[in-house]
Amino acid sequence: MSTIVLGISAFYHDSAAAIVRDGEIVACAQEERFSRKKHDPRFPHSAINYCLEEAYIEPAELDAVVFYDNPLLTWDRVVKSCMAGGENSFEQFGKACRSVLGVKMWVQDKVRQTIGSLGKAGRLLFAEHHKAHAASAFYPSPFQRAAVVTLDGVGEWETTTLGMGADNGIEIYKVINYPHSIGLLYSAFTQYCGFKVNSGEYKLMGLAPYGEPTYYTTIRDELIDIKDDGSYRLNTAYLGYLDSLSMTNDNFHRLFGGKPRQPESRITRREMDLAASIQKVVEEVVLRLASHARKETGCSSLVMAGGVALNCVANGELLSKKIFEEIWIQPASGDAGGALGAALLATHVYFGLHRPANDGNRDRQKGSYLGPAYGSAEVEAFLQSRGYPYERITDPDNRARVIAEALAEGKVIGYFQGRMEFGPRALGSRSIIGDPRHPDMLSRVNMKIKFREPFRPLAPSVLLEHVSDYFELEIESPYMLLTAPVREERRIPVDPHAAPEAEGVHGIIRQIRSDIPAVTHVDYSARVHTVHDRQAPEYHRVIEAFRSLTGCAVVVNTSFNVRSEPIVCSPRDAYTCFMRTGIDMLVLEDFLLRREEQPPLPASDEWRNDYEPD
Amino acid sequence: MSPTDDSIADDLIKHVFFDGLMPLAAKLRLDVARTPLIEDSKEQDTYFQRKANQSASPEDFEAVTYQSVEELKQQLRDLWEKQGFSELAELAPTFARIAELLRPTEKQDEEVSPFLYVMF
Repeated sequence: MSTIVLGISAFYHDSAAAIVRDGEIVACAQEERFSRKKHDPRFPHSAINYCLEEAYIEPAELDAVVFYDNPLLTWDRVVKSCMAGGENSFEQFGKACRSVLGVKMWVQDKVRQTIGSLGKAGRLLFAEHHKAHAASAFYPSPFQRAAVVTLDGVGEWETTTLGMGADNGIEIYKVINYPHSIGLLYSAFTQYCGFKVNSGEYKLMGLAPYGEPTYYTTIRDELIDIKDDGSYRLNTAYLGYLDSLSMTNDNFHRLFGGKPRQPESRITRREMDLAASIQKVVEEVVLRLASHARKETGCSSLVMAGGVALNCVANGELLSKKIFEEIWIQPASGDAGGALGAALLATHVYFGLHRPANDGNRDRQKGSYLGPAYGSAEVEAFLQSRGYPYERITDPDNRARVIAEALAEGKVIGYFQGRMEFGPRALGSRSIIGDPRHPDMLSRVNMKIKFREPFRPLAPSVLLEHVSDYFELEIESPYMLLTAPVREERRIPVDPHAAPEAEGVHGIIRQIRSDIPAVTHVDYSARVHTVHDRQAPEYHRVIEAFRSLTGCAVVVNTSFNVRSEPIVCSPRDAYTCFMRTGIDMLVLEDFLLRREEQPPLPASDEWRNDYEPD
Repeated sequence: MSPTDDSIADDLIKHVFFDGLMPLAAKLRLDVARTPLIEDSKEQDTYFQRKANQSASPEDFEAVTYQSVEELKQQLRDLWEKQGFSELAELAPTFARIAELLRPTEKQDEEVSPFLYVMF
């Protein structure tokens, strides 16, 4: 008899569902992909329904349903935080009453309403937030034994944990509790630099190489004390989140020279330098924590999760320091991954199942291709019902050749095939791809396709067997969670003073830095995605065809969406995004659609109002 | 949740905050050992705290057991009594009542504050 567990994360940000059968991940998806509301925090009805369909089971067949958070402990933290904040925190308390007492406390009502069952356990199970993160990092990893580090904004109370996973079990030894949170500190800088909390952190990381860490000393002297073991304390006098609805306060603003940057306004030297400074602090915390974890556990492998583990620049630093022999990071490291972690934790701890055998030392995340796929018949039915012209090429080699030719002509392609990725990164299933050799590809993708900030870098997908031809990286990076330098011999030196100060980031972006300029960031780094022929055969075939044609084993890979929109999920989402943007060609499984052949969409920019700026 | 329930909940929220939590906060500030979120000294070697229940165990998953408002009230009470916060435990009935008033009905889609989901 199988043991089937449904894990759910909800009511923070990035709600998600995951189903695990006998320890094997069957399906995972974030609600935002179905609801089309980015970072959707609401109960993940659609994601749950998808997971049940993918697992081909009825809700009553579930052995258990497990939620990734303990709402009682969360309420404990809310109450005490508001007490510490004093009367100023009343507004915060009022909102928390509605969100926690009024919504989160009743999560089992939502489960019953959605699926009519609480599984054979007959009750909703609850995992602790950081244990769920730890589980999402350890159980899918290739390791039998590993140090575990989790870092995020906050769970119930914990913000940072250190422990170990071994065989079936997980232990957390040491914790740092709210309000001391490297994740919330980073979010404070995110908001201060004019980006949105819980979606803008990635942008702050991308901005950092444009600046100098001139505020590092100020941050270390005034905001955070970091011990040798990586533990830290924040000076909460500078942080607004204890007693207000803002991450920062007047003390913070005075410290850094004025009011926060207004969203969408011009990015100045101050923001670039703040980004660089806080990035340096995060890296310091991560490196010290990792060193301490190595000493404490004696493990040669490290696994990580929690939203801060998505900081791929810090991860790249960690890798380069060789504190651990091997590192594995959960691709859905944010709260979405908590659903998966909760399901895995329940499987191995509550039900006591042993971890399944590991095939060839690969991880168990299945490339993170864990969401819905659409068969050719479905795609064809969609296209024919709308009358959209297409060419069908069923032979995979021929199709790859046609796509590669289009790429080599400078076309930008919306590439949709196979199961959707789980986690924030597109990995060749729901990707926009292009030729990285074109000097204008970066600005074209940012301005005319993604409609996003010009400083945002693009990432490379590279054939695994050629990764070290292009990047200073000897290992796989299948989930785009590591940055690595572009190889020295490919770099083109630039004069840092040649970019006029008045142009800000625009002047810096226009400088060509390598022979793959579109994916070379201003500091010569790249957020590398290695493509393995067994894990992503179709995507590998396309890049190999491109390499045969051009000699270049790299393509630009950015997520298939516009700014503020979730990554596309269905063929309809993909077609809509294709037609609303400057994408030249759309690949939907074995169907190719050329822009010039398509009927025009109704001329309107109002669709942009559907998406709240992120 | 009806508009009446919403209004009653608003009143209770104000009451529990200003008449319950704030006086308690003032009182606890006098008792350094029990004050929540008090700053530690920079003289320590570490800021880590040892976790109480280190191993993940089957019992962890059943720590939350309430099915009704009454059971929620009891679990909150038990939680704070165990921590030695008996004054907070006395507020458990009010929190449970607020939770009851704000409990979503079947047809209602939950309102999750776009800010609150940052941290709560």
